[in-house]
Parts: sequence; C-alpha cells; structure tokens
Amino acid sequence: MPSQTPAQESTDAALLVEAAAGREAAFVELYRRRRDDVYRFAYSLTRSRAFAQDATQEVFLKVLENAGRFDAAKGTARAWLLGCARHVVIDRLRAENRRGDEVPEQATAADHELRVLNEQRLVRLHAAIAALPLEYREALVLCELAELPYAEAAAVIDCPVGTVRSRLHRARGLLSSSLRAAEREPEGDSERVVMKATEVCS
Amino acid sequence: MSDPIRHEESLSADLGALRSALLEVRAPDDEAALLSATRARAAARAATDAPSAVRPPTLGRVRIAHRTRALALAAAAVVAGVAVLVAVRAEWLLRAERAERAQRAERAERVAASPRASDAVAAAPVTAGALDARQAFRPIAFSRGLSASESYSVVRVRLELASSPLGARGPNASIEADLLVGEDGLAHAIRFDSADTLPVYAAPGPISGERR
Repeated sequence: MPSQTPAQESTDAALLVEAAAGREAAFVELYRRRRDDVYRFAYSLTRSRAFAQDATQEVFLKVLENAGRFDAAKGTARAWLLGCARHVVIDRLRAENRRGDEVPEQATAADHELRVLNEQRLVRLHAAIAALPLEYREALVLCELAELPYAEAAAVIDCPVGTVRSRLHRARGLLSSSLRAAEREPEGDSERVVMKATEVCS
Repeated sequence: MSDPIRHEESLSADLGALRSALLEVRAPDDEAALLSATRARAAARAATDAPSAVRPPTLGRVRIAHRTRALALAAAAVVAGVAVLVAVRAEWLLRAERAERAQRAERAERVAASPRASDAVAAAPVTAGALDARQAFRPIAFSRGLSASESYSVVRVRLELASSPLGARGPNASIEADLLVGEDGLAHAIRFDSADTLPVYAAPGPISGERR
C-alpha cells in the first residue's frame, strides 16, 4: 500500500464527510480510490480472494452508513477505513470459525493478479502470515505489507503504539521460526508446520 | 553473518517481495454491485423511516407527552382523594359505632347498678302464706306501671299508723315503709315492714320522709 500525501488524506477526509451527507458521487470516488487498499488488507489477512471481495463490499457499505462517525482528530481517513475493514474481517473470520475451519484458498497459476505470487517462497510466506494468530497477523500486515506508520496502525487496531511494536516484533519472530521449520519439512507440509508453530505460541 | 541476522534480513527481503507482489493485486470492479446494494439499503432505510415522517413534529410530541402526564397526574390525585375520603368516612363510622357501644355499655352498667322494679317485684313472695312483708312491693294505685328498663330509688319513709291499713297501735304511732321512686320522681310502689319485726315509732311531731 503506497503511502499517501497530506493532500490525498485531506481529500479522503472530505470525501468521507460528503459521503456522510449523502452524496453518492463522493462515495463512489472514495470507493475507487480506496477499494484496492481495503481489498489488499483483507486478502493479506486471509489469503482468500472471495473473502477479500465480500469483505471489501461490506466495508464500503458500512462506510456509507457510518461515515458520520469519522473524526479527523482521532486519525486519518485511511486508518479509519482500515479500522472498519479490520472489524469486518474479524467478524467474518469468527463467523466462519463457528461454521468450521475452512481451508484458505490456494493461489493458482490461473489467477492473473497472483502470477507474481506463484513463486513458492512467497506463497509459503503468505501462508505463514495467514496462519499467525490474528493479533500478530494484523500488526504485521499493517506495518510491513500496508506500510502504515506505527501510530496509524495503532489507530486501526485501537491499541497503544507500544503494543503495535511488541506485536510486530513477536509476529516477525513467529514467522521466521515457522518459515525455518517449513524449509526443513518436506514439500506440502508447510501448512501443518505453521499451524504447529502457532499452536505453540498462542 | 550469524543465522538470526541472516534470517531477519531474509524475512525482510521476503516481506518486501510480498509487499511488491501484493501491490499488483487489484480489487475486482464491483462498483455497480456496490452501488445497487447501497441504493437498496437506502431504499430499505427510507421505508423504515417513512412512518416517522407521519409522526407529529417534535414539539407536538412533547406537548402530547406533557398532556398525557398531566392527565395521569390528575387521575392519580383523584384516586388518592377518593381513597382519603373513604378512609376518613370509615374512621368516622368506626368512632361513632364505638361511642354508641360505650354509651350502651354505660347505660347497661347504670341499670345493672340500680335495683330494678321488676327484680324487686319478681323477688316478692307469690303466696300469701309465705308473704314476707319486707320484700313485697305493691304497686301504688293510679301510678304508672313499672318498667324493666327504668331505674328506681328506694326511699324509706315513716307513716302514721292512723292512716295505715295495718291498724292503730297508738295515737301517734308510725311504721316504716319503702317507696319505689322512679326517674320521674313519683312513687310507683310501696313495701311495708312487718309490724312484728319493725320498730314502731311514736312520732312526736308531724310525719317526715327520710331518703336513704
């Protein structure tokens, strides 16, 4: 996720305010600008395109309903949007856990957008990230993949900056150890090894 | 380079590569679906909010609420007033009944304390042979009859024997008798003492009555 300029941020905030006032054009503009960010965030957390697509729709529907609650003094518009996305993802993950653990989709060579991910190493890395406990996973995705500053990530997660730092550190440690273990395991057992690592750590 | 550092650097490099790869990931263009969904939700919300448009304005609702509250308070006050009146009335009736009962009891006590003519008459001997003159009250002619509910006083008097039916014992001889005097102050019955047992006075002066 590319970092944004102050002008972009002020525009996002203005679009949110206008969307809250019921202007559909502002809402559409905000959606066009930020849908990829939300989608990537959801995809990074879950490694499921269908999940990320549904979550993105739901996030923007919630944005339309709750745009009036946005407070620029509490954080940026992007942080507010990702905070909404985080809530949606967590709710959906919980709902899916209630139904039974579903195996996340595997990236296939047929996916045009994911061709670059076909490199086995990156696939393993993403699988290991998706298998991390949620609190470490979201810190890693926000800070490492979405490149949010710590303060902004703390606003998204709604916790102190120090907590974000410690979670990120812990997430990197878990990730590193699980990847090393996966390298030692035969091909195809990486998922199982990552799960073992998370079980030990959680 | 030590292993941990190498692993950290490797991880950072991998994360950078994943980050770059994810930048290529684009959200599918669901704009049309999203807009139709938002419009459907807006329509549903408008339908839900529609009844509120029919409602009276806020100020009117406040007035209605005030009026309803005032009516409720008035009704409560009326109920409370009626309850107090009923309680007062019940207390008054209770007191009146108590007073009446006390009065009745007092009257009964008074009657019980005074000798009753009926008792006295009932106590009189029935047969002439067993007549005890000390206890036999006889009704005085032309006087009002004795009543069981009336109280009487017994007054002892001395009568000249000349005027007594018991006969003369001397020119100035007298005999004692009990008069049953009613509440009206009139004598209703008389009882003569026996000549054998009662002392006979020779009254020096005129006959005088002495209340006992």
